[in-house]
Amino acid sequence: MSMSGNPFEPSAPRGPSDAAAPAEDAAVLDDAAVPDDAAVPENAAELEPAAVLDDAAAREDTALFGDAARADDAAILDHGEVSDDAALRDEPTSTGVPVLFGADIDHDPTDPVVPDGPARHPAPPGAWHTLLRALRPRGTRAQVLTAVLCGLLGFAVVAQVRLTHDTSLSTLRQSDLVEILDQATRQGDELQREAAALEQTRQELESGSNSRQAALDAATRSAATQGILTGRLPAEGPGIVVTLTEPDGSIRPLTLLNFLEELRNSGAEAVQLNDQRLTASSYFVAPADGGGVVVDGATLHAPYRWIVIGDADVMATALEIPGGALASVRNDGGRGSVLRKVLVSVTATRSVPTPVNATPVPPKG
Amino acid sequence: MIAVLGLVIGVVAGLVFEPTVPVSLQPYLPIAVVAALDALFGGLRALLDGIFDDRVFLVSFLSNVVVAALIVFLGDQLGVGSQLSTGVVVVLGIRIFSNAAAIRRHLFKA
Repeated sequence: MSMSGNPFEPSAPRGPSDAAAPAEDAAVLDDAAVPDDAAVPENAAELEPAAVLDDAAAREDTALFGDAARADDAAILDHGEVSDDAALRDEPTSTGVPVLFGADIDHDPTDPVVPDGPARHPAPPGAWHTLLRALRPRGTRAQVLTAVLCGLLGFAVVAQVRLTHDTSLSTLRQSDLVEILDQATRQGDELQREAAALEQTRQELESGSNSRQAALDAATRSAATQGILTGRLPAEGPGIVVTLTEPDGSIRPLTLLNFLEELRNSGAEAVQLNDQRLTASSYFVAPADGGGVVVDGATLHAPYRWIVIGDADVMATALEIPGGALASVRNDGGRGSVLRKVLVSVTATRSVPTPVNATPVPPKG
Repeated sequence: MIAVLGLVIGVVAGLVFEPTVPVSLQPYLPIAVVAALDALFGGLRALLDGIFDDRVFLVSFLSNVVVAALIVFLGDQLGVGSQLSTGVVVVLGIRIFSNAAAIRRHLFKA
């Protein structure tokens, strides 16, 4: 017997005289140990009543405790298993379930609410069956109740989702609002700084474009001036038209060159002789066969028609002075007439060769 | 099936009626929704465990919602509302996960 070595067994050294009392004690103390009284067979007769008594008491104890313990265990086990009060039958082994519910459950044997039996630990296909059974529409109270609760949940979820999408500030807590305000302030400061920087950049760019525009204007003016001076551009303005004819002889190239020099001295800005534009590099030479004059490689013949832009009065006076340009023409046997005009057009142009050897001196500084 | 139908009807009703949540309830509704979700998962698990009981489900559903809202309300009164609601959500989330794991084990045995 396992109880013979039990250190809590007080009846091990017991004698025949007081066997009953300790045995009873033992029964009370250790209900599981007592029913096996064969451990003391020599005193079996004397101990018989005690043993019976003990047995009864012990059995009763066991029954009571055992049931209670089992019930508790089951309850605890169930709680532990589901870890949850949700939809769990609180006292599975007790009869405390109200008759109302029990009746409802009993009416439907396929209802998953059956508290015990193999459904407690269903096999995998059983789980699916349970689910399918539960999904089958029936008018039971459980289903209707679940449907109502699910509907409530769906309604609440939609309401909450809509509320969240609205994200109105009034739903937020004070601390959240303070945080948002702080964040907004910080963001505003940052944006303000950024705006200031961008404004500065814009002003810089504007002034830069202004200066660039000024440079462009200057360059354009300079290009116009130089275009007129080099004969690259046609020009118009006040001036004179001089026509030289040769009724009594031929005007020498030198006379024509002096005539041009006289015009330049009197402020001519653009000069055209017949269809040749005259510039700083223009030259007059006598042709090999004697007739006319070669100007910049082209042979011209009388009458020579000068179109000159400049101060008309100054130029006309300068040409007419005694011993001047027109006097030389007359000496050569020619005749000349000067017409002052408010607007003359110098239409002839010449192309300006790109300098091959000369390059601009780089600007200092 | 009726439960799914109820859920659909609830969602449709929410979309149709466009409910405006009272301002006083606004901080508690999300927590209540999470608590109700927890109750729903618990109910599904109990169903698969074969111990589903509509009375317990109803009580747990409502008490979950009320207790969760109450905790948040208390937190708001104590000045730790946001922290406490975070805690409630974490706890409910853990429970939902464990219930979902149990359901998964039931259905897929994995």
